[in-house]
Amino acid sequence: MLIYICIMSIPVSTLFSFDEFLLLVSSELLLADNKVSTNTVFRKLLGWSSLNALLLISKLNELFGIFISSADLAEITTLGEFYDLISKRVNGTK
Amino acid sequence: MALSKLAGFELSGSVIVHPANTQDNSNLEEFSETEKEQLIHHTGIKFRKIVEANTQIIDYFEHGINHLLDQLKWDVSEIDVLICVTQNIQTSIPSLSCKLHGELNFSQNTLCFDINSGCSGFVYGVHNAMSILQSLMKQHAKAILCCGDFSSQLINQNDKSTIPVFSDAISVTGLTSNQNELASFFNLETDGSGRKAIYVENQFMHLNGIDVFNYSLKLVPNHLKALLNFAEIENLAQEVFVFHQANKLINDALVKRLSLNPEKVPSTLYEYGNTASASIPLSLGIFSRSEPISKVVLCGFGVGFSLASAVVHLSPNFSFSIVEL
Repeated sequence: MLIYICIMSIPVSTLFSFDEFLLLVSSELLLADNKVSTNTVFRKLLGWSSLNALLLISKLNELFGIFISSADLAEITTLGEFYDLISKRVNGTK
Repeated sequence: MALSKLAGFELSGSVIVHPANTQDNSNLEEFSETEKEQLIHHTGIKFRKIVEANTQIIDYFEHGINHLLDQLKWDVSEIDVLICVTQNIQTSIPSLSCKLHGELNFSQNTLCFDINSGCSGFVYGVHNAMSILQSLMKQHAKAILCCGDFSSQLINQNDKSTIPVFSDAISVTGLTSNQNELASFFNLETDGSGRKAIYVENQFMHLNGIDVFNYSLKLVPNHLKALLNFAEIENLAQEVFVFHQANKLINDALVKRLSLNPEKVPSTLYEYGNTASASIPLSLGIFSRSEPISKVVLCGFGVGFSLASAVVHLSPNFSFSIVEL
């Protein structure tokens, strides 16, 4: 719950750090531990499902006003790439 | 943007017909307990109405039309327009409306056709019906609009993204002239780049939840704002908004994005799930039982990607009933 409150307090359009992104992923995918890193393949995470992926995408939209499509996700593999995509979308470079 | 205005017509009443058979998302065998809890919490859907495999949708429309004619005290010979909005694949030739015309002995003067539309279909149907009624230049012209699908007949039982969402129901709605020549406003739009968000291939429906969310949140707010501006509606908190019942995540986000009053935005997701083009008349009818409504904003969005919104008026005697078969 504490993780969730911390993330919700981030101002819209202010990109969070990679560690904060990992906390968000852990929270939305209901991961029991935080053993995730830049190289983690997000589709192989235990909590990854169509519903949890949608929850993560909707949370990113709520926080930053960005849209990540299923085609965007198909082009990336790791959480590091996911974070890069978010950074570029927030900065308007992709 | 396709804004239009039609004067002088209102919704007289609606009937919903759904199967008695109800499935509970808490009992889905394919999902873990945590998944089921999350699913019900975020989609807002606990119960779904599911027909038997061989049930024919025309039988449901027949029941609905007969019930509506009794409810409104209309005679079948008075009906000028009969429109069926459906994406049901059981019967496309001849059209469902022509079959219903024959089964129920409508007049030869009754104009009949089907519209292939889903989530936005009710509003498209209302627009078509009112446009034709207006063109008839006739006092007390009447239309019957049938909407709905048996989506369960398109579900792959291994597809965890569609099983817990879709539900079977149809609606039958009566439209006629109103005494005060009140205007109805419409905004009908399409973004075909979203045609792969929901589609049928190899007999099964495919739902890409992320893309449906994105298209809904990208398009619906500006689509609705254009309608409200056109209709000169400014105080949104006072208006009743009836959305297509997609899922709670999308509908809640739209309410928040548009700063609507949640108490004026009915939801029937918990009890009925996503009933395609019947979801708007279902939600409108149930809400009308608790609060008299004279004017309402309707908004359908989804498969296509199709968008349709309207400001329409309800008869002071608007009646609503639910029939369980």
